[in-house]
Order: sequence, then C-alpha cells, then structure tokens
Amino acid sequence: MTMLFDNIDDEDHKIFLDEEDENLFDLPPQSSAPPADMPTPRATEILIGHTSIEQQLLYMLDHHRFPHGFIFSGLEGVGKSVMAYRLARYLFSKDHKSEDSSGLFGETLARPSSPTPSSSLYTSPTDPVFARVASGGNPDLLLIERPFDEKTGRIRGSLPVEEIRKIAPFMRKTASVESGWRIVIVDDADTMTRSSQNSLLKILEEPPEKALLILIAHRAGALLPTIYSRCVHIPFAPLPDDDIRRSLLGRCPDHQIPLIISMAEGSLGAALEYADGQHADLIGQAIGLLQDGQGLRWNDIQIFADFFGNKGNDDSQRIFKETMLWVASGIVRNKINGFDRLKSAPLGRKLKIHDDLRIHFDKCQSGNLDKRFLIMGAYMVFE
Amino acid sequence: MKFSIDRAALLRALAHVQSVVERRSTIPILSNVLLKADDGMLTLSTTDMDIEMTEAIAADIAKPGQITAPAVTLHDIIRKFPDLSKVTLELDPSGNFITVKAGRSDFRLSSLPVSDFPQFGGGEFPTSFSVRAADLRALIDRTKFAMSTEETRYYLNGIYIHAAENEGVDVLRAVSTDGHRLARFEMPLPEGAAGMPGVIIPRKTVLEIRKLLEEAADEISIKLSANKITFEFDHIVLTSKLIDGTFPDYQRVIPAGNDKVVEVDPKIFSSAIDRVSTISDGKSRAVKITLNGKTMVLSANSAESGSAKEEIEVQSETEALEIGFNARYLLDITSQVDGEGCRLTLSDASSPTIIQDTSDPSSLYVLMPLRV
Repeated sequence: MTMLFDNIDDEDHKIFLDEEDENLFDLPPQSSAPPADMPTPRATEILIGHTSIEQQLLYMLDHHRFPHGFIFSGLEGVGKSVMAYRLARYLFSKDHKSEDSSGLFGETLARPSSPTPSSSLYTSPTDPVFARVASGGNPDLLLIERPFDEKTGRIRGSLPVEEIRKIAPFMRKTASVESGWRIVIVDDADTMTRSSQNSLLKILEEPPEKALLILIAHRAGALLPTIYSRCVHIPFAPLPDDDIRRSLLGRCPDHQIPLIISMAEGSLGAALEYADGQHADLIGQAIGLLQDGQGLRWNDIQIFADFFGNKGNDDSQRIFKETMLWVASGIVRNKINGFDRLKSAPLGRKLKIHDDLRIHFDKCQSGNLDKRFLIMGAYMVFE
Repeated sequence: MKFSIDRAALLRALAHVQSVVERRSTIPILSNVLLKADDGMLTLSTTDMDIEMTEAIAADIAKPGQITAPAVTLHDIIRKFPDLSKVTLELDPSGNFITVKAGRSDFRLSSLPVSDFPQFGGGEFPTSFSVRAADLRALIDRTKFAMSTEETRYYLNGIYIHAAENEGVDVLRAVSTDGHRLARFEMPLPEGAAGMPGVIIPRKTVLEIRKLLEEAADEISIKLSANKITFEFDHIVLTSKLIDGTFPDYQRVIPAGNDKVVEVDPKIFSSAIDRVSTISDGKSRAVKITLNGKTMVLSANSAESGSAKEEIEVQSETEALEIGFNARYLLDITSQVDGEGCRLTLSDASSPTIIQDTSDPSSLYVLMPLRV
C-alpha cells in the first residue's frame, strides 16, 4: 500500500515540478544583444550629436579642471555610454603617446612644452587602444554593470554592492602605464542600491590621483545628493530629429521613419532598435490592429499574440509594451496621427486607458503571466 | 600560424601561465592565452589585468604568427594527450579557429582576435637587479604570512620592498604587517638596487611568484618602476601592477627598549603552544605566558571547555612576567624559526614583543600582546 501511495505522491510531485520548471525557472535568457549591425557603445566609433559636451570635456581637460567623477545623465540610448567610452579611449591613447615619446634606449626625448589641443575626443578604430577597450581588455579600465543572475537567467534589476566593491581594489593598484589614467565606468548607476551608493561614496571621497569615475544614469535623481555633489553632472539632451533621421536612412523603409522618430523621442538607441526589420514590422502591426479602438479583429489579434507571445521573444514583448504605451500617451496628449475617435473621447476616458494599460503591464510583469495575455489584454484596454 | 611541440614542454608552460587566469571572468578575452610563434620560440601570455605572465619555449615553427585560445580548455586538452606525443597547433584559414592535433585526436577551438588581448605596455624600468632564487624564496616565506587581507587598509595587502641601511650596511628589506604582527626580512642589497623606489607588491603577485619559485633556477632578475614590477627567470616573465599607496612608517612600531630576553627551543615552544591553544576559544585564541626564572608556563582558559597548562624550560635572566598572545599569530612566527633557538625580547604585558631566530639575524618579527 505504502508503495502505491509513495508512487502516486512521487508522480504528483513530478508533475508539479515540471510545471514550475516551465513557468518559473526555465525562463529564456534575456537577449540584450543589439541587432547585428549595431555596435555596442564600447565599439562605437562615431558620436552623433553632443558636440558641445565634447568641447566642454576637452576644455576641462586642457585647463586641468578635470574632476574625479562625472555623472552622464539622459535618456537611454542617447549616447552617454558612447561618450564615456570615447573619453576613456581618448585618455588612454594620450597616455600611450606620451609614453612612446621616450627614446628607443630609454632617454627621454624633448617633448613639446604644450601639446596642441585636440579638437575632438575621436580615437581611430585602428588605434590598438580601440580594440582593447571594445573587448574589455584594457588593464586600466573597469566596467561595472548589472550582473547576470544565473538563477533567473536574467540581468539583475539593480547594481548590488558586491559589484561596486570591485572598484576599490582596482583604484588602489597602479596604472599599467606610468602616471596613466585609471577609469571606471559604472553603467546603469541609477539602479545602484542604497548600500552600493554608500560604498561608491567611500571612493569618491578619497579618489586617487589620475583616477576617473564615470556614472551613467538614466535617472540622475535616483543618485544620493552626496554622490551628486562630488561629481560634475553632465546632462545629455535628447537628440534632434534630424540627427536620428540621418542615422535611420537605409536602415528601414522610408515611410516608417517619421513614426520611429516620433516614438524614439530623441533616443538614437531606441530608434535603431525600432528600425530593426522584425521590430519595425511588429510596431506597424501592433498599431494597425488597434483600429482606433473599435471593431477590433480578435482573430488577427489572436494570431499576432500567438506569434509574438511565445517564449524567448522578450525583446519583441518589450517593444510591444513601449509601442502601446506610446500610443496611449500620444492619445492623451493629442500628439499622434490618426486615432480620431479615441482622441475625441473625454480626457478622463483617455487617462483611464493610459493608466489601465500601465496597470495591465505591471501585473503581467510581477505575476509573470502568459505573454499572449500580455498582448491580448493590452487590446482589451482600448476597446 | 603553425607549429609543433613536445606535449610535456607545452603542458609545463601552460600549467604555469594558466594559473593567472581568473576562472570566473566576465571578460572573454581574459580567459584566453596569447600564443606567439616566431623565430623558433613559442611565447605564451596570460593576464588578469593586474598580473601578466609570459613564458617562452622552443618549438618547431612551420609558419610564424599570433593567436589566442581558451587557456583552461587548451591546458585540459594537452594534459589529456598521451605522454611523449607531439602536438601540432594550427590557425584555421578563416582565422576564427585553432586546430590542435596529436596522434589521432583533432580539436578545433574558437579564438578571439589578438588585438583584443590586454597589453601591459612596455614602459621603462629604471631599477633592475638580480637575486638568488633561494633568497627570494626566503624573503617571501618569512614575510608573506603577515600580509593583511583587510580591504580598508589596502596598503597593507602586500609586501613592502625597499632599500634601507642597517648598522652601516646597505640592505634590501621586505616588510609586511596586518597591524597585529609585523615581519621584516633583510638581505644584502643586490647590485643595482640602490636608490630603488619603495614598492608594495600585491598579495596575489606574491603568491603567484612563490609558486613559480618552487622550480626556479638560480638567478631571478627583478625590474622595477614606480608602477610595475617584473620578475624574469627561465624564460618566464611575470609583470605586475603595484599597490598605489604609502606603506606606514613601520620602524616606529619595532620597539627599541625591550630589555627582558628569553630564549627557547622553537620546536618545543611551537608544539606546546599548539597543544595548549586547543582549549582557547573565540577568535582571539589567547594563550597566556607566565615567566618565572628558568620556567615558562603556557596556559589557556575557557569558560566552556576548561583550562590547559604546560611548562617548558627556557633560558632567561629576567624577573617574573605575565603576557598573553594570540596562539595562531605566535605559531605563524615560531614556524618561521628554523634554527636551534628562538629569542623573545619583551618589555611588559602591554608592549610589543620582538621574536627572532638566534642563528639567523636576517628576519625579525614583532607581535602585539593580548590582554588576558
């Protein structure tokens, strides 16, 4: 008897585990890799826009007013990381050049008393520094990022203190080039936990010579005032539409460009992501299916949800979310083409759509609900 | 690139260089070894961005070139090949793979671009001198146990090496301390080391170089600059960053006025401390030493386990004295004393004690007492 019960028990247990496995623990790794033709900020050679910031940085450097810490803040994808790596490469390649000016047999050659000031922070991709910064293999550069969580298979939502604690040992070793720069780039600095921020403060309070800390933050307000006061804050403005348009040319069909520019709201990173073939299709279809909020073709929505709602399509689902929220907020602000019926609805109704949509997405996220429901539910809000 | 080489020679070199590679690095290029084949020599390099290790071995070079390959995997493969086999490595024409062949085995390993590999940059080394391997071994062994691991006083996380003068003789001095104990080792100043900058060699570098010294030949050439140190011997070059900090003025904590001298057999002393400290509890592992004429009583008390007492014979001219020490710290020091006698120079129960080997004046240890 006991045998039998044991068996049944085991079986039950197994089924339960399987289910849990599938829903909770077997999440596909989030693919945060950009589309193949889009280089990561580390390997991006060209900076778009932000020339005044570049001049400001050069001015500070030439006039020996370089701080120990920078906060680069602004929209995601606007060019903060690109600028940070550009600055790092520039400083490293300068270090190497000054070292090269020593003679073949160790004697120091006469150096120009005042090196000619550079007009930009550009470093050629043929410079050896470029490849090493891109691969993460520069001994004087430390990159701190949100770590990959092996338990959930996703990038963690916050920057834990263990990551920040890597900075002190790095700063306390000599640079690999004599009196060279040591640079730490903290990405997503606004997701630092409270203890991470306090740990970072310890370094900002007593920075070593020729050390530079660049904090990249999408929401500078999330940083402690004490961190703020020890860094030079450089806000990155959204890019002008023309700059984005130029970068989009040839990447997607021309008729989609105005829509993508409007959705990107000044973020080049977002625009390039939206312009990627599959993503642009998704955006077009998602908006098309809305049909001004009446007579929704549920059959088509079902097919659409089945297609994009399956596992491993995290990027598509995120872009779907961003698209729907953008439409909803466009309707509230009357800043979207089409959707005349929804736009003419009373403000209360429009706000309700927007809020309901947010609540729906939050619920799907926190409850880890079926992704097909995430898509279908969003349309229900508009109906 | 193509070359063939004896399995044993390649395995030996790979075993050396792969010990620097961090097992859990998030930067892919750091888990790779850089292989350079040129002029009858194969050069292998690895780095963790703080230390760079390079070893050159003779190889049969068919076509010179450079490539990177995953260090640990390559080491495992070579290790599993049968002894006395000849290994052939070749770069795939596509440039993305390296093939490793021995006998009938054939492996294809993925490779990363050579340009991604970190460079420590040449730079100048104004100071260079050489020391005997045995001396460098002694220097590290006598001091490494006292290195601190505490992050806040980062400038103590290594061995401080500098040129100094002791009673009119120029010496090369190594010092390490964690605030509770201090170890100082001296040797005659090697030629060329005069005027060297005082440098702090980081903990990991100390341990890596010590591993290599196990099988090192006679002479080690050391080169120094303000930001890097290089050790060179038997075709191995280890270059390391240094700790960017100021070592505290350790001379101040070496007491000059201690007048009570006690001599004891280090082996008897060590084993007695070891036995008695079985009883001591807590982190401090306190052992009390009571001196009375020619006897020394070691005792330990614990509220939970009980008490222990052991008497040993000593040579001493001093009056009675009671002093407490951390047993582990005391053992660390007495285990460094190889000679016949261990000399303790004390002052009182709250002042630091000097411990020395009676037959070897090159090393000196200072230990802070515990209140017991």
